[in-house]
Amino acid sequence: MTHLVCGYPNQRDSQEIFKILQNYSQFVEVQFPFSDPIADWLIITEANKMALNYINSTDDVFNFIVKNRIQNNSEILAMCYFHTILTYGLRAFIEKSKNSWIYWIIVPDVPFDTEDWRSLLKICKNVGIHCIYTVSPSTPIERLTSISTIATGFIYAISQNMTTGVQGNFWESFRKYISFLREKFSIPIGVGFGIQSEKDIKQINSIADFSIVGSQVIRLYQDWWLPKISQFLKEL
Amino acid sequence: MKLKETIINPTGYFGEFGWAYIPEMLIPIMKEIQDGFFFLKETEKFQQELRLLYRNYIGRPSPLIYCERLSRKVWWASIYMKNEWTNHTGAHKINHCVWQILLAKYLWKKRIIAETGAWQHGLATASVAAKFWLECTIYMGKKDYDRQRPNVISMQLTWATVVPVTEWDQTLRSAVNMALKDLINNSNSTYYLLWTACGPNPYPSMNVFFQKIIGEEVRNQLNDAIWRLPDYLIACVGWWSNAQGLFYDFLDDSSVKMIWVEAWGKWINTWKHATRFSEKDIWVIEWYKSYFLQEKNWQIRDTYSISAWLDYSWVSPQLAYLENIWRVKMTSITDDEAIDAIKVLMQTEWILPALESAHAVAECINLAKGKPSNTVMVCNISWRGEKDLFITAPKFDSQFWDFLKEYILTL
Repeated sequence: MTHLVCGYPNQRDSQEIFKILQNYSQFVEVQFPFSDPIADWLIITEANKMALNYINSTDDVFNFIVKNRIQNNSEILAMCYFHTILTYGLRAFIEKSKNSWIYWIIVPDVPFDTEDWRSLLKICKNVGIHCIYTVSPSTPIERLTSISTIATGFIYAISQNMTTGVQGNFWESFRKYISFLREKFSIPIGVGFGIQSEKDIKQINSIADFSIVGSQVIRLYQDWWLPKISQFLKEL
Repeated sequence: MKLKETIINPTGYFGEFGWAYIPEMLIPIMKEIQDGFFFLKETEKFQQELRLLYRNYIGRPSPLIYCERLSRKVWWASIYMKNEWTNHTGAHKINHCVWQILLAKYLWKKRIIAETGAWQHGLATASVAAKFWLECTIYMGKKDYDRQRPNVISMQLTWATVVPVTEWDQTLRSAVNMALKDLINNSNSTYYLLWTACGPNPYPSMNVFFQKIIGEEVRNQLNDAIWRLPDYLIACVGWWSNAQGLFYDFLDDSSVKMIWVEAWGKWINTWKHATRFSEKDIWVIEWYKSYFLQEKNWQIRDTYSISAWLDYSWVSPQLAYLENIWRVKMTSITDDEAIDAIKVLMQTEWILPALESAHAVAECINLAKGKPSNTVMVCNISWRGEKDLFITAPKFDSQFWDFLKEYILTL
């Protein structure tokens, strides 16, 4: 799975990146840009800020996705902060997502045991969209258990207690953590945060189901430029 | 349910406001802090330690001054000033810093992080961290860092590391973001010493609890002086950590009217302000649900005020709740009125309030006119005015910049 901040670095290049990502990955996670992304590290935050120069409304993002989607190629997953959904209206947002071929949604800043999440989940179930849950190594067991009873689609396992885009290390404890998740969950496990190289991905794919590459795509773009992204993804 | 119980409660909901909209990674951290807080809150030994610190370290109780000359000047209501700036480090901020540092020690944290816009919180944090031998990192937006250079130096003189944040808009907001990311990355060893009553549950409840000492003292002091409750309580509201302190103890006394003052900024250009209650948009940003000022494309709007601490685009959830149920009244004061209030207060009482508190003083003066003298008003002077000297001095003395230029040449 790969990650894209919609509208970064500008309208045209963002479309290009989006197409490349769709060609090479099973899932593409499209982030709705937001001025205060609290769960992301600097690199994505900066990308969000740049993207906001080109994205003026939530509808822009939907239009972007509809316009640039390559049919039957990869699944599109929306990642947005709760504020974006709230301003758009819960039901309106979910229905619009469905109409824009988004069948998966991640909301990083709403814990699953809140009223807001319940109402969101209810709408998602009605409409037929998967809500993706994130778990981290520090998530208590009770919470994992209750997540496992409601989670559908796949589970987003955060590789370490970090924000996105910090160099990660995938050692023994990490293996234990993933195999523990395996016991708990029957659905596939995707691992994200801090994955930067081919080696990382090989390691992770040997124990988890797939890996999630986010900041590295942006980093590659910064070091110039598009062909490099496709080359990087091709190697994977 | 009594208002007091609503304002400090473990669920984190204040009406429809509040709660913790945080990533999954932060949940165990917040749970730890919450459990620690609600345990310590009830522990007698801890309370004793705190009382000692209040007396011997901060220098509480702070005086409640009857401003006789000011009262006469504004005809006639009796005005009292709660002088929070007599505290150690010159602001009410130290109240919650002491509390939180004890909490951090109880949780066995080795490192404190904090963020600051106008240095008082940073300085208070740095000084308590030094006192309790904890490592300390303070984030500050690059703009504020440059703007407040003398204050940065005073922070660095303690053993705190001050980190200028060059990302985003380089003000308090970026400092907050940075501190939060630091917390996620170093959650095992680090305690995030939040500066006011906002942020995710349990921080809002905690901060009210830490600051409520102000109101308790006012109640006692007024009782000693005139055997009665105040009619009006007035404080400025950035988020409300000083206002909550003054008001909390009186929330259930329905005869006490509470007035909270926001910054209207420049009068002419009406987009340049920081009155969050003027538009009443309820959204979720940065960990909780509250009123926010926002742009047309649903992003957060930049605010403007002459005083750094009122210059913020959202408010504490409890404040939003209290406003929503009409327990408090919001007003706003422009920059010029605030400056005038400083002048008046200096002329009559020789109290130099910070620009933030000057907003409250200005409202107090406006309100007192024509009220009978048995109307008792208490205004909270939460900060010392020296910190704003470079902003206020040119307004009082037109030759100030010339003086500075000459002074620099002599160096």
